[in-house]
Amino acid sequence: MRKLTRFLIGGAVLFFGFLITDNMEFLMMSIICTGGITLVGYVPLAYVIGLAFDELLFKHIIKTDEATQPAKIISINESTAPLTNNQVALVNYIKEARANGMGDGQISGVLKDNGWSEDDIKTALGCTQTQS
Amino acid sequence: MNTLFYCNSAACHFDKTPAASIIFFEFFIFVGVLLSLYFLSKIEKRILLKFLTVAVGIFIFESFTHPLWVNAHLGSWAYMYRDVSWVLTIGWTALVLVPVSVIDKFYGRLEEWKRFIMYLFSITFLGVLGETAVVNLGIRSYAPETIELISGRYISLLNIPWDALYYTPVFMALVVGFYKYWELVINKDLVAPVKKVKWLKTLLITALGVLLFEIMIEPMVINAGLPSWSYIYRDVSFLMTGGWILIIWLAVILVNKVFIQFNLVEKFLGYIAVATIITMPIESWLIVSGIRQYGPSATGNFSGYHIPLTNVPVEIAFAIPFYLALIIAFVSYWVFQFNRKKQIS
Repeated sequence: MRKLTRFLIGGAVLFFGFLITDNMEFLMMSIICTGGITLVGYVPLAYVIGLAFDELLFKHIIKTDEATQPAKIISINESTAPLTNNQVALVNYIKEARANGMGDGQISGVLKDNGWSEDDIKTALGCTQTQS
Repeated sequence: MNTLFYCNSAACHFDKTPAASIIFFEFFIFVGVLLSLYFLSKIEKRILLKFLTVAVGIFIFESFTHPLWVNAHLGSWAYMYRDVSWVLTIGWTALVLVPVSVIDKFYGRLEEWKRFIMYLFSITFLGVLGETAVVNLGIRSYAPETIELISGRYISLLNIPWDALYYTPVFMALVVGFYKYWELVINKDLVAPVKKVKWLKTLLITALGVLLFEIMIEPMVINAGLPSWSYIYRDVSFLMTGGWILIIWLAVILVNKVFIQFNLVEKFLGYIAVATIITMPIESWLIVSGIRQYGPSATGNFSGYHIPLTNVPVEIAFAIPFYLALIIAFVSYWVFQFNRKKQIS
C-alpha cells in the first residue's frame, strides 16, 4: 500500500509538472503514440518522485512509528487461521491506543461503544500480546 | 501556446498584466500570509503542513471550477494552471486556516457541528470581503454561464453577486471538511474501528454535500434529456444527482466495511479509487448519449484528448477524482464525527 501511495503522489507531481510547464501535449503524445511503451519510464519515475516526497516532506504523515505499524497478517500460532480484516483493525487500534497511554480497560470500553463484542476484543487483545 | 493543446476559453486568453493596485494587493496577500503563519505557529503544531493541506483543498476546488470565473491581471508569474493563481490560493488558504485554528483554540470544547457553523460564518464573512476585493480590483470576473445565472442580482454596496453568499459557504464547507479529515492524519488522532457502519447518516451527509455542490457548479454543465419531473433546480436532476450520491455513499460504506483495517490515508485512496472506477464509465455513457453536455467555458478548456475506450475528455477524467476528493473528505470527516463521542472514553 505504501508503494502505491508513493506512486500516486509521484504521479500527481509528475502530472502537474507537465501541466504547469505546458507540456501536457508532450506527455500525452509520448504515451499515446508509443502505445503506452513510455509508461515503462514514467511509472518508475513517478515512484522515485513519490519516494523523494515521502522521505523529504511527508515522512511524518505517511510513515507510522513502530507502535502504529499496521499489524501483519500473521497467525496467532502456526495452527490457527490468519487474522481477518476486522481483527487486524482491532489489533492496530489496540497498539496505537496503548502507545498513546490508554490502558486495556479503557480500550475495551471504547471498542464496546463502537459495537465490538467481548469475544472480538479479547481475541484482539490476545493477538497483540502474542505479537509483542 | 501549443497548437495540439489548444485552449480557446476565457481562462486561457485573458490579460495577465497587473495594475499597480493589484501588485499592492498581492504584496498585501504575501504579508498577510506570512503574518498568519507566524501567528498560527504560536497556537498550532505542524502549521506548514496544515497550511499545505488547506492550500491543496482550495487548489483542487479552484482547478475544476475555474470555468465559472476568470482571474486576470495578477502577473504572468502568478498563475499555476490556466487562470488559477497560486497567489489567490495562498490568500484563501490563510483566510480559511486562521478562523478555523482560532475557533479550535478558543472553542475547542464545543461540539464539532457548532464549531463548524462558527467556521462557516467567520470564513464566509472574510470570504465575501475577499471576493469584494478581487472583483472591485478587476481581478475576478465571471464566465458567461455564471453571469447568466447571476442575471444582474448584485449586492450593490459590495458589487458582488448575491450568489456569493451561497457559493462561498459551500466552497468553504468542502474545503474545511477536506482539511478536517487530513487534520486527523496530521495530528495522528486515534480513530477506533467501528463495527456497524452508520449507513443512513452517511447517506444523508453525502446527499447534503453532493446536492449543495451540484447546485453551485450547475452553470458548468448541462444535464439534458432527463424526465422533466426530475429537475429540481434549473438543470440539476435528482436522478443524476441521486446517482452521484449513491456512488459516493456506496464507495464510503464499502471501503469502511471491507477495508476496515486500512488507515485514514489508505481509506481515502480506497474511496477515490472505488468511486472513480464506478463513475468513469457512467460519465462516458452520459456524454455519449448527450445527457451530459459541458458548457462553452468548460469545453473551451478541453485539449481534445480523451481517455482510451471511453469518450471522457482527459480534463473531466482528472476532474472526477478531484471532485470526489473534496466531497469524500467532507463526507468521511462527518462520518468520523458521528462516531467521535465514542472514540475517546
